[in-house]
Amino acid sequence: MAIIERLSVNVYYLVSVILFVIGFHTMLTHNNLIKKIMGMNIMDTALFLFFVSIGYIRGGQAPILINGVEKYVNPVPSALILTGIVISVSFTAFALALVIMLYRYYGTLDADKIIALRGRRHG
Amino acid sequence: MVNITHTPVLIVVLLLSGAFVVALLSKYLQVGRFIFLLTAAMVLLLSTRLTFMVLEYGTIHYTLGGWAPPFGIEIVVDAFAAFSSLVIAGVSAVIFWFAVFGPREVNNETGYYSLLLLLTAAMHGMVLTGDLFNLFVFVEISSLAAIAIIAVKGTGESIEASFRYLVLSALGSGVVLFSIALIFMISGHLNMSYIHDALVITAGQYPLNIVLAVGFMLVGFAVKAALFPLHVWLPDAHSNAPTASSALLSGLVVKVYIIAFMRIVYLALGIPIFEILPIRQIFLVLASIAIIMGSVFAMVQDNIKRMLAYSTIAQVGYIFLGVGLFNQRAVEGAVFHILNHAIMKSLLFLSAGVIIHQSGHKKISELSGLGRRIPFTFAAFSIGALSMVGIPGTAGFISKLYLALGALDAGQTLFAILILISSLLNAIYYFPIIIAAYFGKDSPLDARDPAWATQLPLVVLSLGVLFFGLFPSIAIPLVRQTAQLFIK
Repeated sequence: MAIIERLSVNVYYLVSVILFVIGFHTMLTHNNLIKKIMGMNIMDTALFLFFVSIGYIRGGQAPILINGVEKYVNPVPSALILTGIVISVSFTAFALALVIMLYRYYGTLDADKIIALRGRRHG
Repeated sequence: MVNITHTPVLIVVLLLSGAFVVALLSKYLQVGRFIFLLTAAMVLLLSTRLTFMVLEYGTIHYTLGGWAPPFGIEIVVDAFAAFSSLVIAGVSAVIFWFAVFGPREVNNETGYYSLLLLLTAAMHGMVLTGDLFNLFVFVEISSLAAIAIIAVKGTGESIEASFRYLVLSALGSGVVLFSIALIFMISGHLNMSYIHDALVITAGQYPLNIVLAVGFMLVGFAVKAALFPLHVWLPDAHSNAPTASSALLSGLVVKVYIIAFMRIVYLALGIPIFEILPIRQIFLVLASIAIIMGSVFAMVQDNIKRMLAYSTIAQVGYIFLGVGLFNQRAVEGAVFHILNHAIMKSLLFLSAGVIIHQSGHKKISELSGLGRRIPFTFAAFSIGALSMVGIPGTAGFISKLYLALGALDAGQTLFAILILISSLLNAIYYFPIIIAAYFGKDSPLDARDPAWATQLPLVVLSLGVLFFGLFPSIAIPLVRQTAQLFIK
């Protein structure tokens, strides 16, 4: 019972670690370039969830000073993650642009096929 | 502190604004080039000034926007930061000159200059900042810009190489961010000195967090710095980039991540972390394998730029080896090698780029006899190669000497022998090129040395190699102070 209780308290951490592993795995093992980028996004989202849940306090209010409110959520992680999201978006946009160019050159989105084609073209 | 000087932040601000201005000047190419080079020159002046300030007054703390830490972002310029900033500013200025006056390899010129400025801004930011999340942002900017300056070449291979770099780089950034989250969790701060103070109290209570955070940090930075088993992206990425990008990537970018990691270790985590976790042992083992395997892989390459890229893997190994040995002289050797390798690898990549452009050949087997046709460029290449091997009188000798002495000080004779063996291995793959170029059978090509403006960076870098080989004492005060940041 103690384990379940601990898990339910830390459910955000647990979920974000699971998501992180899914993203990591997708990114490294899938051959399809678009799926690799999706894996990258899942991994980043997992990290954002992890970061934001560090600052979350159960029953805490948004950090705006109001009389009578004692518990505030830590706003720093959320603020940081805004930057993190921007970075993640630019990485994704750039990766997709590269994928478009790769598709133009090789006519496929399969990483293995691209390597095979490259080997044939450049000996 | 009333009499505050804005030099530390001006370096980054100048480069960032330069990047935006240059990107807009595609219609006025000459103006764009001028601003590009002017920015680099001004940054070099500022870095020099910063270094003298640090030598005179000690560590400089600068708070961005006047917000006192822990709320504001703090820039901490110690001897190591000043030294790294000066190396980055100096070597990048020379490479920028080559990007402007060297062979044309990219279509969108001003876009390329803008990316180079962004990358340099991120590198300066990474070595100067004292804030963990700020460091992460700079890591991301530099990764993205580094990938972009490979892809600008626009060939299928370079785009494929940059995509692979992007995937691994994103993995590296992901784990670094995870590690920052784990550290934030138990310290509640992002400012490195505050993290250090908090960790002294809480680290013992949450050992799992620390172990995971350090592990993730290590993996993340090792991917980006191409430490041996995580180097797979480097040969393709560095050899398929335009010449100026290759020089910048191999000479500076990989090492900046080592500098960032070292700064996190002594500013945030504290040196005792080396005794608690086996980081040094990991460094020693992986660096030894990197030194040997990098050279072995380099030996079997026929493409000259690929050979140089594999040689970078071995040279990164030296720096990690120096950090792993962890005594005064070994760390001095590692820090000195950051400077020396930046100069000599840029020299090698730039001269190799010129040779490839002038002759039209990139295979080592086809370069025979070209030394007599392109004597000047090959002379520059030879100086870089001699320094790589570690011939006395060149810069490479000094850092290898310090590393070997450090290994002996640590009582690890094995590593001193390893450095000797690796020098021999370097000789095996560098000397045949030079010998074939000067004494091989005549080349049917009608190649000649390029214009003086293209050769100027090669002259400057060659003189740099010889200068730091003959008068290393110029750099010693900074290097010694840097090593003392580690070994107190």
